[in-house]
Amino acid sequence: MVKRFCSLFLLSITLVLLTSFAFAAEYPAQPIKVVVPYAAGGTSDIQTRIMSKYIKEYLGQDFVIVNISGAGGGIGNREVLNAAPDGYTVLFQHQSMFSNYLTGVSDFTYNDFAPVCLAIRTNRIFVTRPDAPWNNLKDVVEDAKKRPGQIRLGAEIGATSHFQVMPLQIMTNNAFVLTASKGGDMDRITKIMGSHMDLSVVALSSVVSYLKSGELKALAVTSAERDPFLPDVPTAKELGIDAVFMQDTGFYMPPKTPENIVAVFSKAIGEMSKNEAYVKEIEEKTFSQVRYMDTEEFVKFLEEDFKYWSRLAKEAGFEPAKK
Amino acid sequence: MGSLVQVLTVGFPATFQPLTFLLLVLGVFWGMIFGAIPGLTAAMGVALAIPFTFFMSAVDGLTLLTGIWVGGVSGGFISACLLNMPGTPSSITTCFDGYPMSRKGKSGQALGIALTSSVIGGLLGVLVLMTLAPFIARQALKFGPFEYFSLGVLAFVAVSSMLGGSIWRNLAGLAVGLAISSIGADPISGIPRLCFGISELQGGIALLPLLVGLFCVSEIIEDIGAEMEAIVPPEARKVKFRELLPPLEVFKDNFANLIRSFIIGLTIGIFPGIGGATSNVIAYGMAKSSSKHPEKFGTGIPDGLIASEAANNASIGGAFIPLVALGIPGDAVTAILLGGFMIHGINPGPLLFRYSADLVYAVFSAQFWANVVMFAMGLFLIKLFIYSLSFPKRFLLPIIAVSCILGAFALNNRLFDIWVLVFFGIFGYAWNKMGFSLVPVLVAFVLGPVVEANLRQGLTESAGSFLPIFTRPISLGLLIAAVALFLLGRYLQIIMKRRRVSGI
Repeated sequence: MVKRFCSLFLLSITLVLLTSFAFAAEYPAQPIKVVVPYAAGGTSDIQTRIMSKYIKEYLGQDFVIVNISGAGGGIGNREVLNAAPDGYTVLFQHQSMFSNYLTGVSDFTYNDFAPVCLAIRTNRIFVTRPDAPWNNLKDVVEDAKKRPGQIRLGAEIGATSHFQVMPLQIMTNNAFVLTASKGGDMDRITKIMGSHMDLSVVALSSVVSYLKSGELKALAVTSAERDPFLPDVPTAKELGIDAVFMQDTGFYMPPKTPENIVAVFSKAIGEMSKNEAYVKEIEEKTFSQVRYMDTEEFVKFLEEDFKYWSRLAKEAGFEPAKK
Repeated sequence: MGSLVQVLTVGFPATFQPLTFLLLVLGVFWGMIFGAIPGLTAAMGVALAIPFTFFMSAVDGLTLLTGIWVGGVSGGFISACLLNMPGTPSSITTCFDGYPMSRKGKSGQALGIALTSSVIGGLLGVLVLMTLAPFIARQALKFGPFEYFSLGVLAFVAVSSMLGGSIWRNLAGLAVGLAISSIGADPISGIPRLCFGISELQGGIALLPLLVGLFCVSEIIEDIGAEMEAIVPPEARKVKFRELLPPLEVFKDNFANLIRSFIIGLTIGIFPGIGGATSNVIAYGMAKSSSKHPEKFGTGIPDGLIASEAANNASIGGAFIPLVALGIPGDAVTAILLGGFMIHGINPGPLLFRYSADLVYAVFSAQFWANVVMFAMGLFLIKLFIYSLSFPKRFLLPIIAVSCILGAFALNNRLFDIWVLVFFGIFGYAWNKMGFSLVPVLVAFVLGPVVEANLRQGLTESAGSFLPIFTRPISLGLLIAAVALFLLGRYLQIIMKRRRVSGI
């Protein structure tokens, strides 16, 4: 019995393996695996799936989207970090790589990869219940100073949202009750709607329909300029609150990926970003902007942004993991 | 009630386009196959089909996905009854009575009852969804962290005191499950726990390899050594079509049980984050505690099967309510479905009914008809599955083993999950051999993070005070139910022991 089991087992395994051979040639000679470190159905996932409709025209190959979620994106990140540097495994990720590292959750960050290019930029936005007494973020800050320990400010501990609420805590000398959420924008949106939390910061793409229907009220966006999708909402900066954040999602390849491969991929994304149908689809379906930066510009941008995040982490007393 | 009329006038005609209906039938078929094969799940079936929907109209694409979902969640009962392997966590308790029934040579009857209960649970669920979705979803938001915590405690008590076996052994199983669930990133702060320097463990143990390992691989190990020639008795192959349709009396006797299980399933499904895995366990426990013959549960009686299957299918309707009314996905499958909606340019959420009402009615209608199609197809597929599974196990087991491994790998495309599968296969085998039940381990694993995260979230909200657990009415009610269930479980065990001693 055991012997027969083993022989048939091996036979079936071999059959499965035979169907999955790939052949090497000039890059890109086979479809490219794009690792989305979040669950299927999220904004990042939908953005890559929209790209996969257009990319073949510019790269000559298809995208194969693989969702590897867990640990706030950390598991998918590590999968690409350890992948072969041949350009066939690419990561699509945003600043959570900074916050994971700066809070000690993971021991690597953006410069441990080969950054390729920036592709999409989304705003972040502070929201509250529609019947809340405040009309913008400044009102909230004033109110918190008056009655410390009363207003519940939601954030996912150690994630990007945690960094984005830090300026409020620093300004008011920790007058807010920091209420933990267990991950993802949806959890905080649900908690705000059910009055288990008073305000929080989420990606603009997650809340546009709630703002339009009046289920939630916008307090401030965190971009430097007003957002084209919500021109009536003030920025935190113009309200006198030093919180400037964007969610910048770009591509990363494993360390030591040859420069020419990075260049081929980056150029294809750059060309695709000029396609009007693509730009329109990203805007309409994900409330985000197509924003391309080539490798050089992208690395410079990441360096600057990382400095800002590191400063915040230091003020909040976080320590990065040891390498 | 207004939306019910629109489902009939707008939704039904949309479903009855020739191509759309064909896609629905294909979807249900595809879903049932994924649900029935151990190692493959409804979530996987839906995720794999999403790329195909790019090239379809929104109605066609969403009809296909809905069909797969309905078929996939239900298909789990086939492997539960025939192989003692739950295809999804939603059908754990289906094994309890389904498999013993099947071993008695009544495979056809077991599957027929499971199928019928599934369809009834599913159809009633859709009806509630059609009429009350926006209203219910809004109420469910009031369910705060402490209520979630107490609901989790109730599930823990239900599983340890009502599912049979020693309460203390079941509590030990809960403890092990909780320990396994705390591996990986802490749900609140993201700091890795119990990883022992293994980077792959940072994401925690995934549900699929754990489930398939505990229940399928351990069963394969068990069966390799067992004496029997075939897992499904060959005489079951001669099942007549008429035997598949369960006698009406079965459902007459179980009317109260059916309705209660449906309500439990629907209610639990509505709350985001907990669904079928919890509802079938609680429904089974409740059915047993209010039965006149609790000692017969687990020996192959229809009551347990009906409770489990009616509850888990009602949860589908329940889970859909927050998804369509508020855009909040309740579980892995609804999260993927949400993606399917968004790819077609539809943002599920409070505006869905205002801007895409026609589409919503088409999806409701698809869900309704998917249940009807599933009933017809189930009868046909059941014969097929009984036929193919009644082959000698030397042919069957290797194929199931490969499908388990493929499923584990396909989850995240990494080898590590296969090792997790193998580890829990061996663990499950040993745990069973020592006389412990695997169900508390799984339930604790599924609910552990929910209970922990909600308790800690609640404590950040109440500034460290545990008092709200007892002062909030719903939370207190759930805790009282838990205590009552525990006492009842102890009482039943003592009674049964006495009966055994006095020889009655």
